Amino acid sequence: MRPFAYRRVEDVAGAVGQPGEGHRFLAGGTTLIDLMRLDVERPAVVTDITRVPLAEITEHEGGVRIGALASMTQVAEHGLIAERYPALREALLASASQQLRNMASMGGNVMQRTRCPYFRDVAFPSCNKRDPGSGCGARAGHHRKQAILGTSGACIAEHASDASVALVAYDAVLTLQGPGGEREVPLREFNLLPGDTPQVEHDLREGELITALTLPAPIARSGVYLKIRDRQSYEFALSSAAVVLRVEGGIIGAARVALGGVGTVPWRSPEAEAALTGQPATLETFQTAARAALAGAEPLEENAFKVPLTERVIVRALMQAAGVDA
Amino acid sequence: MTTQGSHPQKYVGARVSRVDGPAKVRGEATYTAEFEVPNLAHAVLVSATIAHGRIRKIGDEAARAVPGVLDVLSHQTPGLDLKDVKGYPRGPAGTAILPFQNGEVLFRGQPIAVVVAESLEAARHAALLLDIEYAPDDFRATLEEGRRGWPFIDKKKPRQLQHSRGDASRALKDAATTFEASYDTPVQHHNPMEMHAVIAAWDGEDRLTLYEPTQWMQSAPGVLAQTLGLDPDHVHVISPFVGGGFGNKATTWPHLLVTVLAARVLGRPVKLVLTRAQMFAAVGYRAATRTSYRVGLDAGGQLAAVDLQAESQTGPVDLFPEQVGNVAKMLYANENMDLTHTMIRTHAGPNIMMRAPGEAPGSFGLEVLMDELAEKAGLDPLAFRRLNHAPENQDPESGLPYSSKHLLECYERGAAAFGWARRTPQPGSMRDGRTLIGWGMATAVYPVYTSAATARARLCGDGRIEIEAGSHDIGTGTYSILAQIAADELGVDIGQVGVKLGDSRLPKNGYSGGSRTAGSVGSAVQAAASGLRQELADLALGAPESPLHGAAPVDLEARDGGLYVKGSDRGERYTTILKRTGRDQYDAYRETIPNGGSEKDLEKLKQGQESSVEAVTERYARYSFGAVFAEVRVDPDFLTPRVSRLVGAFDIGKVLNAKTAESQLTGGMIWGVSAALHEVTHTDPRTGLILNSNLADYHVPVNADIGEVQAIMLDYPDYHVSAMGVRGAGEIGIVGTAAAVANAVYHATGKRVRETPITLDKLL
Ligand SMILES: Cc1cc2nc3c(=O)[nH]c(=O)nc-3n(C[C@H](O)[C@H](O)[C@H](O)COP(=O)(O)OP(=O)(O)OC[C@H]3O[C@@H](n4cnc5c(N)ncnc54)[C@H](O)[C@@H]3O)c2cc1C
Repeated sequence: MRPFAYRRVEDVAGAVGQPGEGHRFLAGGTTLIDLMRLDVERPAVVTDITRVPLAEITEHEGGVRIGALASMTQVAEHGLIAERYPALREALLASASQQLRNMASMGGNVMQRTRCPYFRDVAFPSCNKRDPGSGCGARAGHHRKQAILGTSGACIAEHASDASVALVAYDAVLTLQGPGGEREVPLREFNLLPGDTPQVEHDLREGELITALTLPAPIARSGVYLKIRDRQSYEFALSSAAVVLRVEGGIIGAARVALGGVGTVPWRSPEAEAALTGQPATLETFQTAARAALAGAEPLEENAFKVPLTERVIVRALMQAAGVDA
Repeated sequence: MTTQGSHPQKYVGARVSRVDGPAKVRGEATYTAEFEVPNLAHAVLVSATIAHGRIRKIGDEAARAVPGVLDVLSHQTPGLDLKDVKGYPRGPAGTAILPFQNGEVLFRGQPIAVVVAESLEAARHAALLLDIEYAPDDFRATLEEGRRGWPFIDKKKPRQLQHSRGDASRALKDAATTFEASYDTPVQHHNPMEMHAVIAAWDGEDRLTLYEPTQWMQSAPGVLAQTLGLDPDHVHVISPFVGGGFGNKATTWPHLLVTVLAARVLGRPVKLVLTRAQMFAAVGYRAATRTSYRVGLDAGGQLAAVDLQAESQTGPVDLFPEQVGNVAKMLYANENMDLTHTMIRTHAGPNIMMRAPGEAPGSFGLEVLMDELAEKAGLDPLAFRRLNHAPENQDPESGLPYSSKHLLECYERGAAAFGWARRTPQPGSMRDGRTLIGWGMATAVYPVYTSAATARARLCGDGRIEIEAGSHDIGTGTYSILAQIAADELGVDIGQVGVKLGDSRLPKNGYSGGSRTAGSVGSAVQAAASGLRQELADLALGAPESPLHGAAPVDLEARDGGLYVKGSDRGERYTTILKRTGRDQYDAYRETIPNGGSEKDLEKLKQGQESSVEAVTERYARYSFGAVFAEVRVDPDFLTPRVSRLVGAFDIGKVLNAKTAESQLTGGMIWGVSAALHEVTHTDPRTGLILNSNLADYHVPVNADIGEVQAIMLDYPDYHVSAMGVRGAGEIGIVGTAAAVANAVYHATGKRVRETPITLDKLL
């Protein structure tokens, strides 16, 4: 690890307005410290925000407002979340380990970086995200776990957060506090597709701090998060789906479908949602929606299995959300 | 010598909790990196980031400018010359590739420089600032690429290993049915929880103290004798606790030499701890293998011929064969066999033994093959193995009788405990709701290796017993079983016995590998403890003041911390006998030569060489056996295989400690699940570097992946191995399990995957 300046702040005012380049906030540290030890992150200044009072979870206009420093555990165990956003609760409980969830913050979770090994190991010469212009090691290399949706010639790194998948399904909005004031950005727009600039991952301006995540009232209180991985626990998703369905008289009134483990960003699927809305809640509808969700996939040789796998994950999640038996 | 009386066995065989458990749980067990040595400097190793080539230059100005940095050493540093050493199995080093001798990079992760500083932080920072320029060369990173040939220098070309009996090609032609298939196993890394670490402290020019976690006390002294000309007895190795080894701590690796050189250059003690990523480089791995079979069956379903072409990967210089053909040579009755094993060079670095080397990957191929053959023959997999069972009086490879073989009973008891009879043969025919259930089984086998051994038993003035052996407890329970043996021999409470291991000044012993420590060192401790008892008995019987004076030696019994005439109070405590001698302690030292061995083995041991008595002696073939049964549950949509139940029945000779032996067996079985479903080291095709050199990406099962695990132990002593009848339990658990799981996956899904790990993408 390289030396860095450490400062601790007590409030939002103290935290915002930090120079962007070479600066990082330290929340739980479970991504940042890891990447600093790997020499991927090399901040000159680290601002410890763990004492900033932003950990509250409160009722907000029929929805809920989650402080950016609330821990993953705190959110997963909160009554309001269990009641209104079960897919978020499940996504959190299927993430990392209990110890990590106790440490990690929701703001940090949204900001966590890809697990692509070409990014995380500086011994690899090619990674456009780490070293723009150096090429994509994964495309020509080993890419079983990388993304199949939202990829570009420059980058196929998967977005790894489980919680973010549920959050985009619930239309989460981030509150960002910068030196010039506050603004709100839907999480869906906050995460940026890699395109030609995979190093630019978020719509976060210089000096801005995430202060809260707000979830509007859900379209329905049923929600499912289904995560498939090589081992039963303590692993990122090969494929996952967060779905919320409002079904009235057997007809789907509204649907939210988001995918994890397959996108370069937490992947909301308007295609699947369109295929569901107004249709009967049947296996056929679900299968059509699943195909629609994957229609734009661009798999490579080693991750081609994610297409059929994800279709099945979507179908199963929808069946569970709709209470339909196989 | 006095004839020994009886001594009831109270501890041997029982479920005794680890005697070192409380210390470990309280954090009182000191592991290498935790030793406090005054004036210590901290070293950080720098590893090559190319697979093959030359170092043009290592620029170290920026690194040296970091406050606290003491030195940067590399091949550019003068005066670090080392003399040649041989890599295992020809010598005690893990590899003949010595650090810092020239600018050649022969494998990924090769140690190429070290930064030493006052603090670990400064050393780590400075290591990042080294400016290393390479001239990369073409490379062969994997077994697959190695097949393209080796157009590079090769001082010692791999020889083919061959075995042939009968007339396999002819028998194949005459066979009623023939079958061909190939099986692949990938590179795997040992990954003990404790990283490799070394603290090296020189005392003058020619004496050295080394703290290191080791499975072979004599290895580092042997390597330092060859490379630096040190007297091996002047190298004091201290290694009381080892946080897992699995084979990668059995030999000496380049980073140890680097630490020793750094300590010499700096004139002060130096500590070096590898990172987890460096645990994937330059400390060995299990080589990738392929076994390609052509098999003939006769009309009755019996093996008529086996032709096996085996391949295993090895490093760029050393030759360590991952002996995948060994199990196929002997496990089933078959008169006609051709085996050719080819080693294939790669720039992956030196490979080394890893828990059941050869047997673990070899049994994957053989036992999946047996499952496929059973299906071809229209037989139940267990019935098919029984049909091809090699009789107790004839090992198919050597023709000798087995020393003790109870494989049929393993089949029977394992199958009964598992409920195998309820299996329906058709793949996909067993379900729980929609979940697919699969049942599979496999045979396990592991050879018996033994070594000459030495130990000392001491009676202390306060009545406590001390046992000394320069052997190792790598987490297996050696401390406990030696305490049990001594407590029984001497009739004392186990709490009165202190065992000292892990110090090269203690009586010499061989390496802890090949499941040999319990049997070999256990024998020496038994000899020393019973020797102590007999010598004390002689003293008492000969002393007119002793109540035992004149008693018949055969009537004596060791109990309650002393010697007594059986069934009476006539006798005295050891402390009374000791007091009479006027000494404050009494020692008995013993050496043992295992059955089938000779004085030569003892001599080799004392010279620090490997002394191994092999499984097949002049009279007997000596193996442990087992049968493993696995149940998997597979989601029909996602095809995620999960092991819900494992039952193994094992014939491992005498069980010394039912608790620690069971823990070895179940731990081995779980590792077999890991091999079947999870473990693989991924290599990047373009750079030859490892992609998952961390425990988040190198998968082993977590608790949630493992259902019920049961190990049944038959407990038949094998007196052709040793007087105690012990064969060892460390490795056999991993043998066969991967195949049992793979066969269960096939039974659940109908999909035959002939390579590990079996992940959902291969089943979809
Ligand atoms: C072994 C392991 C396994 C894991 N498994 C999973 C898994 O299965 N699923 C999953 O979803 N995740 C998993 N994770 C990732 C984990 O969830 C994230 O590391 C964690 O959520 C990050 O939160 P943190 O508070 O520790 O962030 P930090 O490490 O403190 O910060 C991460 C980044 O976010 C920035 N940041 C933090 N807070 C703010 C803020 N308020 N405003 C602006 N920027 C901010 C920091 O500057 C930094 O760049 C795993 C992590 C590990 C180490």
